[in-house]
Amino acid sequence: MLFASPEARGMKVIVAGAQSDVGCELLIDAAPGAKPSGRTTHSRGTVVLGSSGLPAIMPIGQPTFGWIPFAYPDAESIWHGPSLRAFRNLSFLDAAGWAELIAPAKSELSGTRPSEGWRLAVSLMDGCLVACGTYTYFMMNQRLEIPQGIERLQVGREPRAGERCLMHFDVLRQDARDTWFDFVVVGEDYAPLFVATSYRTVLLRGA
Amino acid sequence: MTRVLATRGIRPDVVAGHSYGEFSAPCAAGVWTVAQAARVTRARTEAVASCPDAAMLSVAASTPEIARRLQRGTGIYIANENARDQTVVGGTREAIESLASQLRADRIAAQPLNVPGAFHTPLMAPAQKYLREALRNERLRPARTLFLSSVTNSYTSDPDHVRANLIEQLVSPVRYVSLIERLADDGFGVFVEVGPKQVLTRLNRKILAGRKSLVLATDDPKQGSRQLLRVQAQLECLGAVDGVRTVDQGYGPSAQQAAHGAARFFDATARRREKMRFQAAARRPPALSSAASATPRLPAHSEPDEPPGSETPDHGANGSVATVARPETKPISHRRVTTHLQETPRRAEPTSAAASARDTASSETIRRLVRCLADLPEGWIDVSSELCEWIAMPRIFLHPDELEDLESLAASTDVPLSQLLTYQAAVYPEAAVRGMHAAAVSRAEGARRRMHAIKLYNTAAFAFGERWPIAPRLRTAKGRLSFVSPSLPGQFAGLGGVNAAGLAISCIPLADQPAPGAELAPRMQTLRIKRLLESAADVDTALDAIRHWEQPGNWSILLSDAASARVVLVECARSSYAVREAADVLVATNQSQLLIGTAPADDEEILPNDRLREAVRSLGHGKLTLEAMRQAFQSADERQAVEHPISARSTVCSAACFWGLEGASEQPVLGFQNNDEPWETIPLEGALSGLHAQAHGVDLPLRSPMIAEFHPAGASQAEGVVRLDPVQDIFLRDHKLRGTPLLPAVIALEIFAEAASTGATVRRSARCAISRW
Repeated sequence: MLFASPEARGMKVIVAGAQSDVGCELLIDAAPGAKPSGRTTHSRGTVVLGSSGLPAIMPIGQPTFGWIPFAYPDAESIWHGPSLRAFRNLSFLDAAGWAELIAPAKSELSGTRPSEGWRLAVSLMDGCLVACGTYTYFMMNQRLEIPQGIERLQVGREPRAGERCLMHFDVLRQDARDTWFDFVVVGEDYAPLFVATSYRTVLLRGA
Repeated sequence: MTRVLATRGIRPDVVAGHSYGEFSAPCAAGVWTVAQAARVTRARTEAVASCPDAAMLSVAASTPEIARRLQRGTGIYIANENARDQTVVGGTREAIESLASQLRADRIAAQPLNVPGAFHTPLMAPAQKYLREALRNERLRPARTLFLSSVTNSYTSDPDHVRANLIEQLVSPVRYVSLIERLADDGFGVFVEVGPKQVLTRLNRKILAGRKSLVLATDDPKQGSRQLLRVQAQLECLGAVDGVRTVDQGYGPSAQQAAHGAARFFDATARRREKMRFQAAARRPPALSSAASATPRLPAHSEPDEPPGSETPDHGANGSVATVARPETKPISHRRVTTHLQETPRRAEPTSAAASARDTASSETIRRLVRCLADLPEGWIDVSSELCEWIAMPRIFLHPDELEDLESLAASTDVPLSQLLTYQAAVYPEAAVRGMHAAAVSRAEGARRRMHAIKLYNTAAFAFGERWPIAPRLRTAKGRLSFVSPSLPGQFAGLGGVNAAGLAISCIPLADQPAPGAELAPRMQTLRIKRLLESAADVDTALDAIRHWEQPGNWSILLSDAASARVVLVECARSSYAVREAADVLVATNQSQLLIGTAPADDEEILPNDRLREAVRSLGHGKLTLEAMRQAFQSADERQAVEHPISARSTVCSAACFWGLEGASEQPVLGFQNNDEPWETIPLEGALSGLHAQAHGVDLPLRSPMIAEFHPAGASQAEGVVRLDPVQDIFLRDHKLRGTPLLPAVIALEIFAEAASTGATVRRSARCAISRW
């Protein structure tokens, strides 16, 4: 969803279903004056409420060849500002890799919104997606890929502000258009923060 | 043995092991349980069978001397550097026998060891892969106590390092001399051997000869169990036992400080006198009590009409007169609670802690309790850095109105805000470790009967010199759900309560889980209970809030609500939590049921749970009444007293609070009993009518940063409104595709998560309006 003009835009989220498995659909209101009017679907998913069932700790090892510092590029097509720069160091192998991230305080993204009640560590999660994108860029002939979908995301404990987090990912497969990843993010105590299964990115340009 | 030592207040600053001792040391550090260690030990033993036949030899010679000899031989390795004059070698059986012959010829004492292989030598390499596999299946936790590795001679609390150490030590020599010297160099002055006999104690004495240190063994076959008392006495005299640290030396010295500091010349008699003086001071009547009766009281948090500060002289056996203060005020009378609840306006004015402060009788009680807390011996309250932070920066942790309430309370009670903050934070965790709570639900024949109870056993109350004035206290604040919580005066809440929407909560600290890394959050449980009761109308909303606690601490939490007649048990420990929903009865004590504990609980700790469950289950659907629940708790208590009299006696006082729906018309009732005072029940139907009105009028906070509004949309749907502003929203300003703001994918995930949890509540509210509990 792009914001070509500075006007605010609306979305609707529809929830339906059983108490524990909640179906969600996010709809975009038509831009002012746009034709046709009405709403288009942005995304759909099912949220399963309850325990994540994740183990207390998930040892994911350490980078085989040490860390390489990562700097968010200012001149690239996709630009991330200061509040979305959790990704700090990387270490890539053939079809896997590690990323080191620092979790910002969740309130950093709040701005005029309530600082409490955020369900996900959004900046940290975004850093993980950037890490996957960086992998396809550096290791796959500068393919610039953006998020397309995710089969399952299990959410563990919340990271603490300033906590050093470690991500390990595996590249599952790739075709001409998409790349699929599995990744795990743990905190300093190796407690799982996110476990993503079949995260899919789509080619924007390159290759 | 480690647990026995811990019960005597003997807790190490660091643990280390010698050879196989590196399997038991992680148990003491909380990295794994005895059961886990036993499983891996078995795997290790089986793995050793895959190694070549080998032997070990203990030699009365220094390691360099033996090393020189080994240059001439083959197939022999240094296995243990036990002392400067004692080295163990391992190798093939033939090579070892040959070396033993040479040593005998040179008149050097050598003793073959009765072991199945050459441990700590490369000959054990084939066993490593099996051991690695066995360890991979075990979940290790971060160490609560630092672990010093004999392989790397470095400290760690990282479970992965401990795991790697256990694999590596199989083929690496035990550098025990370096290990002990490192500890001594780092300032550790007291070395306690935990295990059979005194082998390590003798080695330690040799290694530490000439150094300022104290070396103790917990096992002495000649002394039997008296040896433990000797160890305890020696450490106590050093001031290195938790809970009995010196009062006059500031915050109690650790073992290493004790060994090097003035505490070495500690006068035990003087210390005991000091302890007695402190205990007498804790019982001393408050100096300001006479002023209390002259001030008008508010009914909500007031004390009864009995004059405060009245004292009863108690003639001691030695003829001297000791003054023992009766509590100058008793807890709030239940009738007065009822009266006040009935008088509660339909829109209650904000009262909370600030209102109670205007009651001088309560103020005096608060002053007295805070003073008792301040008089506790150093070390009683764990003054963690987080607690200091909480005291120094309350604005970070408290909402403005909560801080305003506390500041108002501080002003009217003449108690410094910092002490009130400590009073809020530090009382319950220690006090409630033996607590028990239960909830039962009956859905038979269309009824939705529910009972929920919590009983706190205040093992710490003796330090306060009296029974605690815990009583049901009403808390109301504008725009929030009112609630009743059994608590001390001037506190946000106790460890449980029931709110105007019918949500009941109780919680007990879990004693068998690893201590949390950060102490503040677990200590601030009463603040969390308050916020839950103020904002959650049902079990799911409360569960959602609990899931979002940062640093949840170690708690067993029971939730029940009237609307759905559901009962749910939640267990939190560090970053984990587990949830179980009850079919009929849930009983919980300070032992976790859903999460894996660090140490297996003994019968004494588990049995009360089983007894209570049995007693509550026997009630059946028809007999599920408040009085029956009380009797079930009492029966469990009585059996405990008969079977474990010592444990029962260690409970100085208790307070129990029960609430539920009762009778054919399912009337809400609250029952309460403080110690052996009369059991009273309070019919809350009329009283809660005012609260019900408030519940209808209150706007429950959505706690959804991304979703501005939520509406029921049909019977099974809800619709949330999201507004995105590319100028205001930071995540749009900071996320652009070719210069144009682009909604980050993760924000969509956040919206889903908010919508799922909040929308579920909205849909339920649409189906069953909150009426009464």
